Amino acid sequence: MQTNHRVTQLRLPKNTVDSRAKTYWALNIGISIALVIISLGIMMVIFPGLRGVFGIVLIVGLVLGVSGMLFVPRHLFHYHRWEVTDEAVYASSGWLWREWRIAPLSRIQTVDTEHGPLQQAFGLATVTITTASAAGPIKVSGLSKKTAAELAEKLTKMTQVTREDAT
Amino acid sequence: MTKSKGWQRLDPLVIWLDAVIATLGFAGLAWYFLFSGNLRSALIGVAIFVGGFLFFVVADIIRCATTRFHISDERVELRYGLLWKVQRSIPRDRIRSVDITANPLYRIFSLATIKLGTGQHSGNVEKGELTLDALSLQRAEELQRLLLQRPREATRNDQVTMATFQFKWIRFAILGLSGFALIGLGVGALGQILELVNADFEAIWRHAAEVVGQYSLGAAFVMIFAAFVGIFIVGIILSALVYLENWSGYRLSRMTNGTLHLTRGLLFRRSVSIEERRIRGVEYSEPLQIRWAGGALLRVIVSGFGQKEDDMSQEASIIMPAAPQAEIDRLATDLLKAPSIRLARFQLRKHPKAALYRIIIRRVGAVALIIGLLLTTNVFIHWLTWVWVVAALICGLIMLTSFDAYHSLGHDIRGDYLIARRGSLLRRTAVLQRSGIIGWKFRQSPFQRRVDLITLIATTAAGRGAYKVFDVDSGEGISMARVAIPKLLDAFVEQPKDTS
Repeated sequence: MQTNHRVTQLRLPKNTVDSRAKTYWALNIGISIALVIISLGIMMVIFPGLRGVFGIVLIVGLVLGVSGMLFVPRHLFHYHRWEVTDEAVYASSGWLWREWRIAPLSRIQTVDTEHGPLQQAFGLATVTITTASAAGPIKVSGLSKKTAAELAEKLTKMTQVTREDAT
Repeated sequence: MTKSKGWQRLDPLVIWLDAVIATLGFAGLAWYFLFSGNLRSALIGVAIFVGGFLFFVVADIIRCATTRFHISDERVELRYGLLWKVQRSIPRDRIRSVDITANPLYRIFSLATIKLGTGQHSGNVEKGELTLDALSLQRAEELQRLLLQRPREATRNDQVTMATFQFKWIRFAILGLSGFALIGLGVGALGQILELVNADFEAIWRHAAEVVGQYSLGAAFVMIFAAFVGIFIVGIILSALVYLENWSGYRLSRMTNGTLHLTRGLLFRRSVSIEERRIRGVEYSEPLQIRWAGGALLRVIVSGFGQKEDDMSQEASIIMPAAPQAEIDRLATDLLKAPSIRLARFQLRKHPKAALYRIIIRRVGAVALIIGLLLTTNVFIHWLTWVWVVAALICGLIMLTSFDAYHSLGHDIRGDYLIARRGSLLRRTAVLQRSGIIGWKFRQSPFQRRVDLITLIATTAAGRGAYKVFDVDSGEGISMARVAIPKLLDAFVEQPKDTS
């Protein structure tokens, strides 16, 4: 084993996702907050005795949620990146709980693009890259539709060249 | 070797055997109605019996009569169904496992069920499997040999025995405690039966209490104690029996055509074939009590075989039952052809102390949370002093197991293998072939970031699908990944600044 590991660290992948993803994430957080507020409101109607408690939770949730909407997407945008080299695909995601994924192109089995209704509205798409592992696919979300299509095509082409059993 | 071009059928004997099983099953049901007391329900019982029996037998006859299979050079095809016709076909080069099982009745009549697995789990399970129920045992074994044979290979099928069952291993089976689960099941089943016959539970309890009440307090205490000892002994005996049923007759052999052949089972005979070229590693599994007794279990990590977390495939991947560590090590090194594995297990690289603190904080935190919740609910307020005593005891226990869990953490790269060990109550050591790793995943929580730890996850197409090196120093984790698959990460790391 190497011993000079003290300063070795992963750098971030080169490409950021589409900047519209920030608004998309903010909206996503907003929707979650709205759902929480609605359910808290219903609770307040059902249990009038506990209105005080729910009220406090609601205010705290609202403050946290709105500040989350303002600040979280920016951080997510910084860490949410991807890169493809001749050998591998590399993606990073998450802000507090971070995750880095690397898969050699020779091990890629399928490449799919998908866009949900909300992503559609923003012109965004997700590229899902699966390998033969049951550990789950690599997902790059928040790409513009054009970039996503290009990435998928590029990966499909490159993986066809190195087609083996991939297990 | 029969390699006939035509379509083949199932063994018709299976219809008779299934009919016998059906008779037993439906007779049980009918019996309940027959003896329920009045004529009407007795008639219903008979009607159910006859109707159910006929339906089952007719369905089985149709199944057997319509099922045909065909083995060509490229594919195995299966057709069945009368009205709802089903045709299935799997390419022969996709077949990765051929399992033969036989229930006790099948064994008496030399029948066996054969299951072809392709290891494709993308869709539903059925897609990747093809079952023939049942063929004559001889026919099934022929098929197994035929289907697992690589083309243009010697038909000579010499085999070398790698391991066989040893009766003295049974001491680990007793520690396995599986019998106690059976007792639980038995008690549950007894309750169900009593409920069915409308037993008066209250009366039973009252009667039992009366019987015990006749004796003095001391005698009653002795009786209860004796009952516990009795349950314990029965549990141990049952554990041993379960183990014998599962593992007696265990034999693992290596065929010259590159497959491993595992047979086991006393009443239910099981036979599994594994292609050696699909083996990606092994996993040592050491439940605490078995570890203390100096034993372990060995699982095999095979691509396209049991790549799911369900119990069946977990059970199927066991290649040696609980046995002494030396035996397990011997088999592991034989399977992987890597003699250094055995030593490596005792010389794994340790994880930073921060990993220990994280283990302790996580566990104590969980206990604190539970106690906190108990304290906030007024119900337990008068337990207050007790809570602290119990909490102190639990925390002490946690400290002990935490040290053990930390001691278990270890990782290394030895030759062609990545080794990762963790766990206290169930310690697992994965020995994964480097070339079997098909990707990396690194994870870091805010708490890990603070102490510069990282979780390295090697993804693979075999076994559990992902093997974790938990809480490793972040730099070392990345170096480890770089050593395991050279060059892959080079473009993505920041070069070390110091040149020492």
